Amino acid sequence: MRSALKELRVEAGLSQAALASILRVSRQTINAIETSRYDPSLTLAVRIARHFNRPVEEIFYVED
Amino acid sequence: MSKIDRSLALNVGVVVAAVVAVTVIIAVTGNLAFLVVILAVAGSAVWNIIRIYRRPGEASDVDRLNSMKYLDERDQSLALHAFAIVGIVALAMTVVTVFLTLITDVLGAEYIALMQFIVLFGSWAAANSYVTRKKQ
Repeated sequence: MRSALKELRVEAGLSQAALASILRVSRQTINAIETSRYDPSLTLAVRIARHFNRPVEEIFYVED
Repeated sequence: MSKIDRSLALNVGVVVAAVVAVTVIIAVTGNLAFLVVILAVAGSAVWNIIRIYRRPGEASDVDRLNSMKYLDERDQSLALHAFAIVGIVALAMTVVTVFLTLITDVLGAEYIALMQFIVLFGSWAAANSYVTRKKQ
């Protein structure tokens, strides 16, 4: 699954470590999501979406 | 005492209690080679647990898995994969152990126990390393 997490994070001026701290996950998890190596759970996806005040489907999407 | 401190104390306490129990058993049976292996693994485990608990956010994936300090859902998922691999190793080793014990009877019980200890802990560490590189 692809995501716009990196763009949103950079736009917000956050480092991976800072975002990880806010979401209470590891920095490696943020990196894995940004590089499409890990698909977050629905709970984490919703928390990410709420943090950036966007709908989940605007951040996470599947390429056809 | 914070929640993290209690968790750390519990982890270290479990390892130390296990070492004390095993040491007593080994002192009774008198197998020093077994004692050296157990103390080396336990000492390494305690050192790793304390190191990771002090700075879990800065630790690598494999360090957190080895110290069972799961920071988030991804760590738990990786740990699940690693334990699944250990389960397969345990099943395969059980077949070998049954064969050796029932058919040939070439090994004593203490060597089988030592072999299981080394193989299972070794495969767990290897599996932790594997899943952090290959999975997710």
